Amino acid sequence: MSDFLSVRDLVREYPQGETPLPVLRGINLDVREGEFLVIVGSSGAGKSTLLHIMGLLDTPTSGAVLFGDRNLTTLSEREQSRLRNTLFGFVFQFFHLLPDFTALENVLVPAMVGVGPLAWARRRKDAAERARSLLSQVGLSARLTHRPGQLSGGERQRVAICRALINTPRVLFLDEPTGNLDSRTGQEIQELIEGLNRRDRQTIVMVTHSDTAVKRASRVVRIHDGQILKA
Amino acid sequence: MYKLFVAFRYLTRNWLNLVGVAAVAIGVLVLVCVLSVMKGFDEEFRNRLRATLSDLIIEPYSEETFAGYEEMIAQIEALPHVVACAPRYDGLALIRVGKSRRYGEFQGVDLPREVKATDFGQYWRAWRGRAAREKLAEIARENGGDLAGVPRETLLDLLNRMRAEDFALLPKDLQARAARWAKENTVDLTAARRAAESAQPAWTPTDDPRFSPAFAGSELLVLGQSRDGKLVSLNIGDEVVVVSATDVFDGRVIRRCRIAGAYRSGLHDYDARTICLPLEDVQKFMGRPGHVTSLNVRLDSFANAPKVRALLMGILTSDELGRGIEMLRGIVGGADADLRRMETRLRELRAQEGNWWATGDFTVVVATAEIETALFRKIGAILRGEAGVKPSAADLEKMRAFQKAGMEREQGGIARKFRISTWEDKRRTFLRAVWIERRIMGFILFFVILIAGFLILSILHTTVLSKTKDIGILKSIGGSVGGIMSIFMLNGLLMSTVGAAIGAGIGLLIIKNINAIQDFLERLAGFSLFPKDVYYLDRLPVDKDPAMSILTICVISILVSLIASAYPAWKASRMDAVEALRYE
Ligand SMILES: Nc1ncnc2c1ncn2[C@@H]1O[C@H](COP(=O)(O)OP(=O)(O)O)[C@@H](O)[C@H]1O
Ligand SMILES: [Mg+2]
Repeated sequence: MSDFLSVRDLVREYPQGETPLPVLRGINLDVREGEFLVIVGSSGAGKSTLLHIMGLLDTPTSGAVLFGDRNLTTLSEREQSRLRNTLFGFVFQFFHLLPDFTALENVLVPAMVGVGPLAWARRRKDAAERARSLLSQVGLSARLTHRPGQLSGGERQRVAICRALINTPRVLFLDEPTGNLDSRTGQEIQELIEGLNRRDRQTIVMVTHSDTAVKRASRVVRIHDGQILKA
Repeated sequence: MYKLFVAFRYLTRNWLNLVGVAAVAIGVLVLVCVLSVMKGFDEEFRNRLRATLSDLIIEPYSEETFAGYEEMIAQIEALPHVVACAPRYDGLALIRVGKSRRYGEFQGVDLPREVKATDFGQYWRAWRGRAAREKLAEIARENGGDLAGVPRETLLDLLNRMRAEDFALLPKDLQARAARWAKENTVDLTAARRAAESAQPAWTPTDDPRFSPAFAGSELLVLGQSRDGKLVSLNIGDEVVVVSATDVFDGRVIRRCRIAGAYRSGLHDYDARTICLPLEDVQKFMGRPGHVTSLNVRLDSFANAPKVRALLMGILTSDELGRGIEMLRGIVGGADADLRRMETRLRELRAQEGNWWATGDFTVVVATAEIETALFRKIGAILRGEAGVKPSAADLEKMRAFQKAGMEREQGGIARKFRISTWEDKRRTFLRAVWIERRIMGFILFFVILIAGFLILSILHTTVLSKTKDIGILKSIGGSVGGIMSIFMLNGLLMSTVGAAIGAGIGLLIIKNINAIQDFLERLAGFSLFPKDVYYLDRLPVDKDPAMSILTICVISILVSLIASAYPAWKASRMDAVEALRYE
């Protein structure tokens, strides 16, 4: 048994007529602290589904997600939400920023979750400071008050990464983060992510099709037909 | 904190949300204004309806008149909460004015006491002030706005009849001109006003013993309209003839009177049908010296009417009955059948008291007497040892004290053989109509809020649909089902709170400046929106203390919006985050 994040006998089926459609059929996977885990597989293999379940966004049909010796799948919805906020960070292929908020605000929103207005008034300054420093680390100090609509794809993805990092997550999930970017920008984002792992020992679980990412990964698993093929 | 932050941003970044704010604001605005004016009218209408009725009216049950009223008045005026008490001799009358005959009422009043016990003096003064005001405006018009050429005596007489309120009701330019005139002619306006304010109605004595002086209601004096549209009316000193219809079976009683003055209460029926004579004259010509038909009692506050009525009738109030029953419950236990019956009756009585308009004055008194009898019978039975309980010495003492207090109350009842009504009892039908009308209006207006609520529902629903992706994102960064729900509930709450605040604010501004707005609209429309001769009012009346009703309106509209937000918010919280996040 791993003492970090792991999944056991994970099954996910989608209801579909008489016989349910199985997408994941018995996945076992250990994520080690500080590693750069890359998940590859053909389109529709179930990579995103696995990532969502590990990140408590989706619930498995059976099986368990464990963190240390805690079974996260049986926790209450509130408790799971709290863990999504504090334990995990997500970055998606389509950036998924809140369009009505500026870059800085987008990064700050996760820091506000679960904090009362009074506590926030006290904490706001520090949080904003941290958000600004994260954004400037990815070269966006001049873009703080821009809305997502005013940013390029690469810039948006950087904001999304900062947002995922604001609460110092234990695990950072990335679902094809460069999939929607041109190759040069994708390369930059790729290097940014690698840097996080190398410099900050950030645990990373990333789904990608990029060969360079596969080369730099500490470990690669391949999903085929809802199961893990040993690479 | 993110909930408030996100909800607030949705409010300001989404024009539909602003439409919701506007809808609530308009709804609240309409409600505040309409209800405020309606309440103003109600107040006005209540005053009108009340005319010269005092708080409590004491009349004999079956006889028409009663004697010995002077002692009664002395006793009544010694009671707590009683401010003044005045005798009256009323009767049905045929009144001949000019060549026409009207049916109506004559009232024999004792002026000095009447002005203390009823609003009679007010209507007299108001009427005189109004006449003076109108006359002054007319004179100013005829002289092209210049008062310099008007004889000093005429102006002085008019100004002397105007109270501060009357003066303030003059057109602004006329006020300024009158003030300038007073300064130039060294006339002290404040002294004139003080004189007008303390002016009391007075009979102008007629030297001819065949005549009585009489005050007529202002409408009674109007004989008709001449061909050029002017009103033809009787004047001071003209003759009217009063025929008592009350005694028509015993032989007609006729009294000739000379108009000594007029008054206007604003209640048309009263002003068109009532003629007031000196009490003594009425007693004399009706052949019943020392007799009156009713006593009018003014109290320090109308709220004390039930208490004083109980004192006058020598019965207990419902509170006292309640205390008595409570005491017995401690002695015989709550399960006693007699006690249960009394409690039920008392509960019915209390419900009736709160709904005088729905039941009737006298049923309350009868019910009180009934419960009281039952209560004392029970106490008697216990004291005689027939009730099967063994009360302690202290309880016996308590019951005896209660019995004694009840007996004393009964013996102290000054007007036990009289019917005692409040003024509301007397005007029950009208008041009830007003009350029902107001309820119905409130109910109809509530739909305005309801419509705003529905609008909020559909706006929020649209917002939720357009924010599917946001919901997914918020969940991915740690938003819970409850959190998402709160965001949209808060969004609805913000819409309604901001809207209600704006609506209430503008509404308050409007009702505080209603007169300026009325003037402006009248100038714009070119005619009087609010004809004086129709309403007898110069100004649109408004609720003078609208805080409570505004608060109620705001709370109701916020509640309605909150209920309307619940469904879209719940919908939002159930949305599948993964589904929203999977695609662009
Ligand atoms: N709501 C759904 N209902 C039915 N099938 C679904 C649903 N969502 C995803 N799937 C299917 O699950 C499979 C795996 O999807 P996904 O995890 O997104 O694959 P990948 O990320 O590897 O491309 C796909 O075949 C997809 O069609
Ligand atoms: Mg995918």
